[in-house]
Amino acid sequence: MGQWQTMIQTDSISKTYSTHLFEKKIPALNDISLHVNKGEVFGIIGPNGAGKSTLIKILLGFIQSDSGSVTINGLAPSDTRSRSNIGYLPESPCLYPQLTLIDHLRFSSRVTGDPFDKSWCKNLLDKVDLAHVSRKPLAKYSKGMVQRAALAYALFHNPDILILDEPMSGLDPVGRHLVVQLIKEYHQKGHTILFCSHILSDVENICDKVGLMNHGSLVKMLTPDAVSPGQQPPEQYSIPLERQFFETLAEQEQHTP
Amino acid sequence: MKARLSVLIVILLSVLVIASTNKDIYDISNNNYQESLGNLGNIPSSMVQIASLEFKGVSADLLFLKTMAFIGLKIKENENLTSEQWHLVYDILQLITDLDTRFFDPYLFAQMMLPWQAGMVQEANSLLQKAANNRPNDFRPYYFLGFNAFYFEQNARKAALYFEKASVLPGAPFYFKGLAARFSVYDNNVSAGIAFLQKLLQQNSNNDRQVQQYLSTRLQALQAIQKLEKALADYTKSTGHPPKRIEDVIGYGDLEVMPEDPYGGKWIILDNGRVYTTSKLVSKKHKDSKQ
Amino acid sequence: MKSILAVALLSYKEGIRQKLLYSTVLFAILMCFGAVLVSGLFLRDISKIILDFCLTAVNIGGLLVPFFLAIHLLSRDIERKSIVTILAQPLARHSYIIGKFLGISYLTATVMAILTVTTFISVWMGIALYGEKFFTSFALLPVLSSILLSWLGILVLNAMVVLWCTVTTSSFLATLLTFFTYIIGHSIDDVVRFLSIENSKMIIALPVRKVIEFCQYIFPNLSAFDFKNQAAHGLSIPASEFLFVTVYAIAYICIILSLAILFFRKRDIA
Repeated sequence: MGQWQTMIQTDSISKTYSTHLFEKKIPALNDISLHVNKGEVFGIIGPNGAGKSTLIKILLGFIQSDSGSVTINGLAPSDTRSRSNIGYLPESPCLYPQLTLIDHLRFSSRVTGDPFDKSWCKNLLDKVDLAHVSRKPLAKYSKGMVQRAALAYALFHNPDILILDEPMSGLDPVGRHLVVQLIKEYHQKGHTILFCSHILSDVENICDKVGLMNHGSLVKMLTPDAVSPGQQPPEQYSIPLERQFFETLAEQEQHTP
Repeated sequence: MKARLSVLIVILLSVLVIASTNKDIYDISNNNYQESLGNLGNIPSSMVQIASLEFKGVSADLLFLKTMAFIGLKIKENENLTSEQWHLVYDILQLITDLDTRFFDPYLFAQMMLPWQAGMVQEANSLLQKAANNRPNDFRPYYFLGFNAFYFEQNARKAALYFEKASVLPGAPFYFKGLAARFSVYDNNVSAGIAFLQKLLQQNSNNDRQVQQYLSTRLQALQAIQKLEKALADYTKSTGHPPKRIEDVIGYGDLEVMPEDPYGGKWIILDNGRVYTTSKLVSKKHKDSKQ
Repeated sequence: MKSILAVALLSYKEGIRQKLLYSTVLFAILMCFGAVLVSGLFLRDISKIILDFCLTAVNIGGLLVPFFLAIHLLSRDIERKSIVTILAQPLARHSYIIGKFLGISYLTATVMAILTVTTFISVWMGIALYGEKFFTSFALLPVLSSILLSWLGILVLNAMVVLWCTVTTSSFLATLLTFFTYIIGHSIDDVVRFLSIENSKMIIALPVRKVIEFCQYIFPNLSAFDFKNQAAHGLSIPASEFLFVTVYAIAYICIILSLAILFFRKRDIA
């Protein structure tokens, strides 16, 4: 096996929040260490409030961890160059409603300094099925269309790393299939994907490794190795992911004082 | 259908109410007009300036509009303003001109109203002096001050001073210079008038020939009056009584020959002992054209 | 620099499409006719009246941006998390702050430019209606200079909006703080002058004097940018004063934006 290049690495990062001055601090992340290699699809699953979004925000430099270190392709999140190779799809995409998708894509090209490639743009818009509405304000889009628009915005500058937070949110089955195909195509090109989702079947279908988070901690890594030996092809999880998910959580609850 | 009908009825009723009460609403508002203006007059000028923020100009405009509307309302109702109301108007005009010191209309309004309608000449003058201070290139405040001094205060010396100041400002009619000199004559201060005219002729030597001619003629007349009055004083001192005729003063003072009135009139002695002319310092040609 | 301009252009486009322009043009047309009609009620100073109303409208139009649009573009950006759209790109946080400031400044300039054109239309209508003799005091350069200085004053206010939006998470609080900045900025000059007048009958408490002194040095003196009165009377603005006020504006904007950048750098987003 060749040497894997680590694209995303976190070492013992922790983060606490306090909503009000006199309120007790709430631990959001507790000693998270993970690494994502080049070309991997790394899934993060966990119940609501597990700290998935907090982890992503730290990776993108939106918030700072209280302790630990983070590197994105060898750069700290505070270094703006680290984001030149990241495409991010947030959980609730908030693009500017008065602007068109083309406005957003042009903005992306202006920031990165790349010339606006019309053919690449058309190709991408066709893939997300938004070519026919690309010049309409996003306020006129449906929820699913906004989700696909945000994905197009994340993919436009062809980043090496794609961070997707609930990418299937608000999509109908056709939209979901479209997005899954896009992600697989993206993965086949050798790019790295960090993928958060509540839809375990999608995680199971797409990811190489899965991290299970709960109460701010990375509870367990679930990989294709976690299979009943000799019974199933190694690319598939023999024990359904959903079952592993619930069993691990229950185990953790039992051991928690 | 029922809902639409109800809405229509409500709208119609409301329109009827508004139409029928519109005049009464304005009457109620009119009753409070003086009070609102009075309240404004009681607020210190500095407070109003602070409250106007960066809109002092437009605040002055709106306040002046309000003041004019107040006066207009009284005129419309055939009501005379009381002394208290006129003083309120004066206070508001002061407030307006504090907000915008160069705003000419309130000064003009003050001149039109205060001395004539309210007998408040001093108040009008204080506003006009403010206008003169803040509009240094405008002859009109000095003109109005001069007019008030001559007409209301019967102070020719003061009038002469104001007209002198007005005459040298841009846009002042050329006859202001003559007027200044005339007022100095009325004030028994002919030498001041002569000095003023000589200075003007010196300063404006490149001016319009007509203006130069006008000033020269006036100067000649004043110099003649001065000579005659000096001779008259000498005669009275020598003989112990004033002369019966103007010709009697020839040979007294420096007077050897009777000077000519450049306006074509005859010299006369007034009851107050002053020398004047039947031409009244106005050329015959100008008099004929006026007739 | 390119990322700053990219953010500025994005903000400008977003602001323009808030239908602000349409409402501004409508407001401008109403102001245009209104000023010409109202001026006919006065005696002699027709030119001054029209310019008073029109320059006030230009100012109010410009102020619509910091009080309504800028708050919307900045505070709501953070509240609605559309800020991640920008910050997920490879640009520094200071680029976001400066870019947003430039975007809302261009918006202010656009609104004021439209209203400037309607000002000149109003003057032309006034001349056509009442005659040129009432417009002898009208001068083009003072009017343009006054509008330019008003714009600079509003830029200082825009910078304050940016600062307040980085300091507080609430758009309501940011609006309130901007409003207070505006009031203090325009009244501090008169208040200081009022206090400087020696008057033995008037005693001002020492804490009040100290607070006013503090405000004088902390808050920008926005009334220094107000030359509407001079412009309305056709009086030229001395070049030295113009330059001095411009330098004052630039200095204040630099300080305020620097503070905003300092606050925003370490702030947790979304």
